[in-house]
Amino acid sequence: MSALRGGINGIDSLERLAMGDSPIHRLHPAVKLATTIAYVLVVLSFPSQNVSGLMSFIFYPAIVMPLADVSYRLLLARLAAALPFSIFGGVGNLILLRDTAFVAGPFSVTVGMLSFVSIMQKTLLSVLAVLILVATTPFADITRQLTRLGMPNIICLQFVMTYRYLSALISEAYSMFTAYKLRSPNTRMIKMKDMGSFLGQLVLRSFDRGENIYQAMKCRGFLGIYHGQATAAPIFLDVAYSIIFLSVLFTLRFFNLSLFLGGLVK
Amino acid sequence: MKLGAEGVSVKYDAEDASHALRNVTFSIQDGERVALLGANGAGKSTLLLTLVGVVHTESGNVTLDDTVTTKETLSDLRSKVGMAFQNPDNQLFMPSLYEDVAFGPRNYGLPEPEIASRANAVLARLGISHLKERMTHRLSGGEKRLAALAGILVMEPSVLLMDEPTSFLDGRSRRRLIEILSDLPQAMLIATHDIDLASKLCDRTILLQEGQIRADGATKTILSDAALIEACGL
Amino acid sequence: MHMADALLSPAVGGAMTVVSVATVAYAVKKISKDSLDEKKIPMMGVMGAFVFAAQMINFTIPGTGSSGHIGGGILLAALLGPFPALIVLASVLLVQCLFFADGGLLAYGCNVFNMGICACLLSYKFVYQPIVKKGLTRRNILVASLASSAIGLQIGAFGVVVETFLSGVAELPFESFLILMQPIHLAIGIVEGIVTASVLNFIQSARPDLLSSVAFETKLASSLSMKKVIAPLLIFTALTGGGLSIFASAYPDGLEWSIEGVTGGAEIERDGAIYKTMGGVVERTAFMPDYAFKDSEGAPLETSAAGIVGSVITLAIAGGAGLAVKRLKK
Repeated sequence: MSALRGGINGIDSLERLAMGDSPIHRLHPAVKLATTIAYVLVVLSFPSQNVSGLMSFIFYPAIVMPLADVSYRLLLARLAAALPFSIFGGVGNLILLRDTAFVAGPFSVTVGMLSFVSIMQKTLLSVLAVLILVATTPFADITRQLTRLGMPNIICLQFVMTYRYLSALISEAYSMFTAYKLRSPNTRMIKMKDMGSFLGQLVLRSFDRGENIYQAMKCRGFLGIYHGQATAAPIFLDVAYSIIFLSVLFTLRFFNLSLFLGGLVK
Repeated sequence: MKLGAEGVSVKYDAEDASHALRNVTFSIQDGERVALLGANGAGKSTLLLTLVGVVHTESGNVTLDDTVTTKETLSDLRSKVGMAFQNPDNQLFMPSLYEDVAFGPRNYGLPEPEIASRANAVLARLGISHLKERMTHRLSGGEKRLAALAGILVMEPSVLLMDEPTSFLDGRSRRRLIEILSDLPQAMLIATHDIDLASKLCDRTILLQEGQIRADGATKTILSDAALIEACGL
Repeated sequence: MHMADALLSPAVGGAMTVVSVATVAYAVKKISKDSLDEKKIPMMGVMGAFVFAAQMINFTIPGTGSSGHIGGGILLAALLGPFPALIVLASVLLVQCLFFADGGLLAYGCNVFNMGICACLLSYKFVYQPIVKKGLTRRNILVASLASSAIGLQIGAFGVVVETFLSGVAELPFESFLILMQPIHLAIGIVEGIVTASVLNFIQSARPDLLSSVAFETKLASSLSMKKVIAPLLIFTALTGGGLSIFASAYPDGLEWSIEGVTGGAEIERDGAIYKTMGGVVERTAFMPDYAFKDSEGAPLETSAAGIVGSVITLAIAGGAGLAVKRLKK
């Protein structure tokens, strides 16, 4: 059940990163949230075969990842989650779009190849953007920003508590699984017929835990409303960063830097 | 401040004939430390939960300074009586330690500067100031216990109710907790199996058996009555 | 079934985000107005963590040699009721998107719709609940879970296909995509249904009060309130479906759109405008001849060469910048 352990480790390492300190960490969470969304939107707005146009967007992760001390090692697991869907959907383009886009030496590059490559670029860039966001911004800060944007209190509390009890529930499931495995030799996984009682037990434990938490909350005056911590207002640096980021972003959307550079070389 | 129970009976299932608590009467004076001993299922946790109004009584009353508490005075009761649960994990539900400590005061609408100064004082007193920004699920067992206690002390209660405070603790954390508790001015009612804890911390002991008070008196006297202790399954 | 960002267009992603956010907001309004007992709030939080853990527990599927895990939509709805379940799933999906890249940021709305709304609201309400209302017997729970899981996943998978298709990034023809997705998700749905049923039956025997309080709950899921949710969804679906059939009749030769096809048309036209404006700038600066990859017949070699060389240079500069930053930081 490496997924369970991997889950805990994944959250752990992101959390530790998010608590770090760097110019990117110090940016206002609202700024990071807004720029990430803008970046993903702009990347996805590129037409299917514009490989050279998309190439310029690699600047953002290339500069920010080392600046914020985010290692590329974290990227692999995330790509493993995102790539299958992209490949599944993109492979049709490879097969169906056989028109030659251009000939480069002995190779003729098809439109399908270009669009497949651009889908992979989009996958990589959007995954990197979200990775940078969560590796430099604690989850509580992201939730707080969403609340300020009008997300209802109950959902905010839902996020906070789901996140809070993730590792507790995962470790509980993990120790149940270990106990299961120790008493059922030669099995790598849980048998489907045992899932009813296995998950059922986990449900009952979760309900009991939910009940206990509720009692503890009541004892400390909880009346159904979550009072989050107030956030500081953005400072000059945040505003400056946003303006520069967005102007570069939109310039690169309309100005193909790669082609420009390629043209210069000629 | 005096917290008391007057003829409290509790039933979990209306159809079930058995009671979780039956006709329990006692009171705790200012600054008094009382151990609540009893076997598993004797009703210790139920009694604590009844005293903070989480479990409702079938008959009988919970009193605060001889005034019967009602639904209207419940939030007042809960600000004066702090409850520490057996599993601190279930009590630390906010993302960071500081936010968890601030949870109660915020619910009571205290101003932020006041919350900050209270929280800092409590964290310093418990020696966990350095963990202030730590994620609650990253605390160790001993730290979680102190963190949960901080969340209660920040409300500046007069009475502390504690359910098995030494469970999940290793020897050193346990000793440290006992030291801290013995320095606190609050009155305490400590539900526990830990006879050593009871004798170190509490002058008085209440012995519960099957939902009823079997004995109430000096800890020394009760703990030296081997037959009684045996009969109560301890 | 988690959709990633790359195959989505901003328009589809944005539209689905609006649909999902509106539905979740409605669910919030619903449970706040019906004075959801506060007790459910921590319960929902813990159940969110539960679903997360449950999705990581793999089990062997007999006779196939493969393994699977559950999605948990119907299970949640059966335990908490449809609206709380939707809110729980929406938060689980957000955490998955942020921390595991399981589902993209822009695809979040699509994922909430495909996995949350389809199972917790639609399938639960129209399939699961009517069956178990007749009585919470082992058989009814099995039938209800099987049918609702299978149907919920079918609608969800259909959603994936439609959303991908409308985005126009993937070229896979609608029909082929459908033929690939639906049967797989029927199989997944049956497995999910069986496991859901056995969990629910276990709980029914251990804590019968849990299921009956939700199954017979009329306050939260009154039919009137459901109509308000269902109506916009039906309209949305009808519009999409209608649009699709128009496409299908206009292109009877089997939906083989190329990139110039109707789906991407709007987008490309917009890009065309952009290129025209940029073209003006370009011509004035005279660095770049008119450039368009989509003009596949006669893309001049020079442009392509400029594209390739330029891309490599861009990549090199970006890499160099990254290394420089790293060095400077030390």
